[in-house]
Parts: sequence; structure tokens; C-alpha cells
Amino acid sequence: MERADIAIEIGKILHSVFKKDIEIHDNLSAKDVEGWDSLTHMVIITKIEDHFSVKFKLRDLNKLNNMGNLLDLVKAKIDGI
Amino acid sequence: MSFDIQYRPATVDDSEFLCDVIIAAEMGMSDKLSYCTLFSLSLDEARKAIISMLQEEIDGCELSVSSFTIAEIDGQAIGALGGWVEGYYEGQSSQMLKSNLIGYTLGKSAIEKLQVHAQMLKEFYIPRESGCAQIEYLFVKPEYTGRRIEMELMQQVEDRCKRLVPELTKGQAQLFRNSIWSIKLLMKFGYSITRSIKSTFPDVTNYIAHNEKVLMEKNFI
Repeated sequence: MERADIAIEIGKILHSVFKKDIEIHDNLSAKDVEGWDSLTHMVIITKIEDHFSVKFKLRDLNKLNNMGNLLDLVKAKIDGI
Repeated sequence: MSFDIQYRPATVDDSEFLCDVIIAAEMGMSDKLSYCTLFSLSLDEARKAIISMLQEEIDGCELSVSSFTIAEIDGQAIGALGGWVEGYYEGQSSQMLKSNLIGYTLGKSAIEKLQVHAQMLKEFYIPRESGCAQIEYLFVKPEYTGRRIEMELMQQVEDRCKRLVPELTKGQAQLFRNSIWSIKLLMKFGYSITRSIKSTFPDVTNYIAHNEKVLMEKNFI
């Protein structure tokens, strides 16, 4: 799956959580989205894991600073890197 | 009777004692442990989960072994205090690190259980200021209290935070209002209450130790 396609799918997941469209770009961070708190973050991560059938490592999760990091991580997981 | 008390950074080998510290501090003067009530865990399951999270050795939050300083006598831990500099590790907030730990350790069902109480928890949330020292989870075995161990632990943790960030300007601590002993101790150490939040949820004390939380702060300059 291409990175751009992953971004589209994550956009759909964010829409299901926040009930509104969130513009996906590499610099997007939790601080930019009202309501993206720690509990919501857990929900988003779980939904992404379920959707892409991947399981993140804790240390990978703790390095996520923005959407770009998340897209790279999902792509690497899907590609089996 | 005098004791030769040593102070040292905690290691992962202290995880079981640190778990006791966290449980005692979380429960305060109540019989409610949020790990049990919010995630529907038995005390034994909660203990295993807390130890497991500590053993992940993630730095920068209240479930980090590296946040704790241990007081010990003859190699036996008798007390501990946690403290870290918020956002010190790659800018990650302790709240996010703790959430990742909980989600990773307890899994999807736990997150679903937590969501039931989302509004109650959000109302009670006080953000931690990035770049400030955060003090959390103080415990000294009852037979050793009143020997200035608590004050020395406070000093040790504050000094460690200042070694990490020499330009540190502020310390913060979040406590339940009924933690009278800890509040008095922090006041003796120069902290004062700067904010309080009282829950509007009548059943909040079914899940957490008290219905009011306070933020205490100390300016270092």
C-alpha cells in the first residue's frame, strides 16, 4: 500500500473518531486537533492497528511526534520492515 | 534509634517495590485504586500490569523506573518518590507516554472500559507544563515516617531534575485534596496550591480516591 493511500485510510479513521474531516499532512500533531487527548490517542492507535492488521511496538509509539511519523510507521509495518 | 539511610536512583529490580509505592500513593486515604476500578482488574491483576509497565523502562512519566529515587536501609527499600522533567525525552508528554504504556499493556478491552469514563476523566485532567519538574508518588513505610526521609527524597528528586535541566524554573505536583500529609509536606518544601478541580460526577469516588484534585507549584527562581 502506498503512503498516500495509508493517509486516506487514516483520514477516514480520524473522521470516525472526531466526527469531522481532519486534513492529513506530515506536520499534523495531536496538539493541532481539538479533542486529541491521551485517551483519544489510545483509541486512534487501536483503530489503526485493527484497520491495517498491524501491532505497533511500544518504543515506536513513543517516538511518534506527528502524522508523518505515523504514516512512516504504518507503511513500515505493512511492508514488514 | 538512628539509621544509615541511603538514597539512590531506582532500577528495574525495584519494580515490585515501586508498584507498592504507586498503589499506596494512588489509593491515598481511600480504598479505591483507579487501575482496578477503571479497568475492572483485581488488585493482583493491577499489580501485574503496573509491574509490567515499569519493566518496559520507558523514561519520562510516572510509570518510569528512571523517575524514582529510592530510600533504603541495609539494602532494603523503605521509601520512594517519583519525579521527572515534563517533555524531556524527545518532547513527548508524560500523559501520552503513560497512555501508550496502558494501551500497550492492557490492550483494546481496557481502552474500551476507560472510554466509558472518558468525560469524568477529562474533567479531572490538569495538563503538566512542559519543561517543569513533576513530582508524583511519594511513599515511606509507616515505621520510618517522621525522620525527614520524605524531605530528603524531595530534595534528591528536585536536584536530579535540576541536573537534567539546569535552567529549570518550576516544580509541579498533582494530588488529591485529601492527601493532607503530602500537601503539608510539599508546603514545607515551598510548594503552594495554585489550582483545584472538583469533579461534578457524583459517583467519581467509586472510581478514584477523591473528588477533588489540586495542582501545587514551586518557583525555583
